[in-house]
Amino acid sequence: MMKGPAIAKNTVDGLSIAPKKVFNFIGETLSLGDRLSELLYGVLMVSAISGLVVVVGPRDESGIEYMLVVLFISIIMWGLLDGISYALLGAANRAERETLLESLQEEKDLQKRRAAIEEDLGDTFLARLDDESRSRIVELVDQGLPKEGEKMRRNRLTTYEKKVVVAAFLLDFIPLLILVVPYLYADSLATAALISHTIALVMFIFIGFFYAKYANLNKWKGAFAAGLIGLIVIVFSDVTGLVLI
Amino acid sequence: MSYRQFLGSYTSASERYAEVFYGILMVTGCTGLVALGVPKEEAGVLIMFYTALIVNILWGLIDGFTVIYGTMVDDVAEDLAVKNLRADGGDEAAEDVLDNLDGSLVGKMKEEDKAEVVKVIRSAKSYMPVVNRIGLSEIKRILAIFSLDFICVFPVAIPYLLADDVTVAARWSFVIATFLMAFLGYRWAKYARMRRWWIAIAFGSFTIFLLILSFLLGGI
Repeated sequence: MMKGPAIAKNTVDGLSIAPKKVFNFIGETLSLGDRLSELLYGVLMVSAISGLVVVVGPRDESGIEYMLVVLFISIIMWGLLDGISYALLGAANRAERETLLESLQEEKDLQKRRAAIEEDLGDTFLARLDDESRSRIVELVDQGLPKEGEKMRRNRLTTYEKKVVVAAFLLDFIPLLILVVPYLYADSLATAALISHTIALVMFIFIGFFYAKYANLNKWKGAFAAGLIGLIVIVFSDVTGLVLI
Repeated sequence: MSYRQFLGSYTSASERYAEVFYGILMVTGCTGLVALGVPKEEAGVLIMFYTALIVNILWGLIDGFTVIYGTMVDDVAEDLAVKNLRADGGDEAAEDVLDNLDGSLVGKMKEEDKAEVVKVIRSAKSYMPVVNRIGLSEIKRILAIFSLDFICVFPVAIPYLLADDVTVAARWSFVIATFLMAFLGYRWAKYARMRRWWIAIAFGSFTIFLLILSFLLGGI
């Protein structure tokens, strides 16, 4: 049995108002799968970039400052680009649906029209309903779609898609706020990177665990797989470093 | 089955644009960072090439897996919404179910027609919850996504195969990436019926910004 929403609600209830609003906003804007993916990308980017910077950045006292500047600029850039591409993906899907609708409005053959509708609905959970209900829904959609209307000439990002940009950006930024802490307190860049990468590895494992949990898969296998990916990314950064040194 | 058909079977057109976008961005961003620390002569050029290659192999695999796992999580969430609706869920359950259909043709219907669709789902004879597993079709989907990310390495990494000097190669690589991004932005915007030139310029500017950043940090 899934307890996800309840857990998420309790967790959010325990927070002060500002973070609670942020988490609610993200929860309302992105699906659970998207939230986990964005978190994973955030951890991935911070750990990979910090790994590369440890190697190529200055090794004196300015190294930590350099790391912070590069991390903040890279993650802000990544968060924005990720959000923008995500919103564009939504806009492109909308245009795709609009094209389908226009072709349906011109299609006079009932069979062909219904086959196209069934194909579109086949990508949704409606494909898991029994045959009779599915056919009934195809019929309802066929009758309920606008028969004519103004063609979409210029597609623009909707308010929802603009919110998606912000939500994806915030989710990419959250791992940075966690993983950057060691760089603020540690004496040397190497120690800070070690602590930050260890935390990142733990985050990878947690994200893998929850991915698998909410996908009804084996949680421990999920945790292991995500941990392994994290380890490969971190080791890759270090190996690149060894080559460069 | 040709490669084009393979991509068409396992990815949507909008997904393909997004994957190419990420692929170019990853290789450009990471080579820009690595350029800061490599020796500027021939050995450095090879390191840059291998970095570009490995970064996109890793990214392609991670991206492929996260797309699959993300879809699986959302499928289970959809099942939960349907289960709540069919267990006498009220307006909120109906709204959840309709939210999940918003990206389909159902989203284009009037509210009263959508309510009819909800009624059919509620009273359907059976609903088969999703059984998630990584099967052959999921692996093929991962490979399709991976291949798109991987292919993007080559146009951007060609200068690292031809040039002897990292600075020259990195500058050419950024120029190619800028044009590729602008072209991609144009095509993506055309497909999405958005402002083509505006988005082409915006996409090209991303890599120009990365180039300036790398330049300011002392990389190229």
